[in-house]
Amino acid sequence: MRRPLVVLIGVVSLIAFGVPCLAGQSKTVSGLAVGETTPSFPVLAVTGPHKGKEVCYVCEFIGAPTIFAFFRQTGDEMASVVKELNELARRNKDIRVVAIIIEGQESQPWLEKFAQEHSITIPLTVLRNGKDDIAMKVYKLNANINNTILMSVKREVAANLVNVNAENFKMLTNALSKVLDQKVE
Amino acid sequence: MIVRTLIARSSLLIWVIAWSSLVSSAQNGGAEPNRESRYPLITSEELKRLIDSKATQDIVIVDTQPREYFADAHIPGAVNLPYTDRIKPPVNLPRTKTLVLYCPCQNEEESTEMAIQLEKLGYSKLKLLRGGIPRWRELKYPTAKISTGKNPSE
Repeated sequence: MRRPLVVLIGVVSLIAFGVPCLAGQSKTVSGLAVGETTPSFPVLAVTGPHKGKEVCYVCEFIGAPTIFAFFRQTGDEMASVVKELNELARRNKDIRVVAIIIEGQESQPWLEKFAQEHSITIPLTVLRNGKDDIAMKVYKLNANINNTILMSVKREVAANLVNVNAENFKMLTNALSKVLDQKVE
Repeated sequence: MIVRTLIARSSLLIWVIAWSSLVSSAQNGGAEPNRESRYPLITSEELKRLIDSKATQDIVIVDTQPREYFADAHIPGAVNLPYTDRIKPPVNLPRTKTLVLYCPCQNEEESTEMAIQLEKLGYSKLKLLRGGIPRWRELKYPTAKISTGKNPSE
């Protein structure tokens, strides 16, 4: 008599707690949601025409289709995605791309060397105060995620992707094609 | 002979004008000299002089940064009206004073957009801070901090 009751409680518990946990694991959240406005935020430019200066790329790019790629830290994985982004920007002159490294100012020498060695032309920037920077809160960034890629058009988030890498980069070009309503290679 | 003298004098005049514009741009603290703006510009140096001489009674300094950035650092005496593509009235800013708007942009993009909206809401005395807060910081002028932002639109 008691056995079916125990089984029933087990099944109900699994549905109530297990399923949401599994769903939560598969969906990693970081960055502003689609439809939200992109607030202006200053970064420290490590490369590009504003090298060494505080710049607001949201302001500079105004309403142009823009990719803001936030990376947790420098390294091989970040490097491979930045190279892909650089190529994307080279092929599609209408879009603006900026890479922002969360780990902060200590990554500057690495970024300068990397940009020089690989002819990276998209601006590489850092958050002045690392993961304590106000941008982390304003952009709702999760500091534990490798990267958060936001695409915006007319200062509105049109796509939000996380943990992009060289292998799944196609999902970024697909999302961009959808956002721009044109094929992006 | 007269023609030659006239040509010589006008060339001299052109050189004088060109030289004085160069000098004035250098005095402008390295900021881009003759960038076109829809609204009159005021430099950080001019604004600092007004603040220092306590001559700000006829102006309101309006900061268009997101609230969090305003709380962290803003020009002393400024009020926060965060950038939006549609300002919702009522706006609690005086129409009788000159509004000096600034943004975190190098080329006043956001403050220009906000000024356009304010103009549509009946504000006619509008000025923009040339180079925004980045220029102010570059000059190492003081900034103020608060724990909660004053928001005139609320």
